[in-house]
Amino acid sequence: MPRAITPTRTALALTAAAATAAIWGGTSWYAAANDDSAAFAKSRDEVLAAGEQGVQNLQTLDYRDIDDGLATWESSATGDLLTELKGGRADFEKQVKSAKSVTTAKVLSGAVTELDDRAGKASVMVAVRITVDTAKEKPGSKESRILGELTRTDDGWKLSALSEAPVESATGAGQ
Amino acid sequence: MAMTTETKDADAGASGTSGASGARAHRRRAARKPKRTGRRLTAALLLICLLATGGGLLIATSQLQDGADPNNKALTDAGATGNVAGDVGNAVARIFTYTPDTLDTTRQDAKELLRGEAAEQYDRLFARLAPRVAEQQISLTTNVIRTGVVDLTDTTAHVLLFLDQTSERKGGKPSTAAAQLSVTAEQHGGTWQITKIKAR
Repeated sequence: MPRAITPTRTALALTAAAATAAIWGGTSWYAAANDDSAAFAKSRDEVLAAGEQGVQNLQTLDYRDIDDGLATWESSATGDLLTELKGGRADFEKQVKSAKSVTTAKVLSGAVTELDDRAGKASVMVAVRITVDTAKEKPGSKESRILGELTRTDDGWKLSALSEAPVESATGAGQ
Repeated sequence: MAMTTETKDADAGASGTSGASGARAHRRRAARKPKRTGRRLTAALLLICLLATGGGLLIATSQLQDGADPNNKALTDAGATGNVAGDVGNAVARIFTYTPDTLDTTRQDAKELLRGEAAEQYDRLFARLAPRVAEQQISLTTNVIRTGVVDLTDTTAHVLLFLDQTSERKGGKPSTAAAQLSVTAEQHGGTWQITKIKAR
């Protein structure tokens, strides 16, 4: 005997479907909230984005707009690097203004090499092309390899150390 | 007393039933009506609550996962990341390290380590290089300074390498230069092979 579709049955079916949706939502949320690798992956992607952007920012400066440029530098940095930038700012401004240099950077590739999500520390490596245009010389560009360290701040990941990976001679001594 | 009875009877007559039992049945129906509406309301509210909960949790889930590519296992799978970084680093060091005496070995190694576009590229380079290496007694040593895995799936990886390359002509002074490579690697039968090399 075919069963009639009654309002009660419809309501029951709807409720069952809604309950299933709620349970599904709950289990997905629980899995995601307790999935350390998802949180870790998110941090990794944030570190890479902040690292690449930071390297680009800190390799970009126009003597005609030096205040904004250096403000961007400082907003990309924290810790020792920020202290260093602030300490050397006056001398650096003079140099850039007298050389009338315009420096731009393009990130070619970057990767996160270390990430300690709990400690809020990370390392990145970034290959970058830096173009320098000064009043005296023709613009020239060179490929550079940068190693950066990042620290998590209340305002996101920021560079706390930045250096060019040194070239070592085959004997192990610096060139 | 008499008033009540009269009312009952009048009601019974209006609803088309007769007698005391008909009146009782009507009262039951009348009493059940609001009860059923209440139940419907509860059911509807429950439904809305459940849907809202499910929807809210799904939104919360997507926010938790926001921004991260769930397929990229770089660093999240430390073992696999270490494997590909190690394999690709070793491969690059091997294919770009030679002396006039080991040139054939290097070429043989490259056949195992390279595939596709990278293999063709390397063959062309090698064809140009080999006569000069023998003639000028050139050796090249490649040291991998740093390796970073940009992204990684079960079968494909993109790796960034910083290299120091020291070349030396016989009787000359060695000179070292920096090089940066972006490498694409594919996994075939448990080993990673390089399919693309791009100088940075």
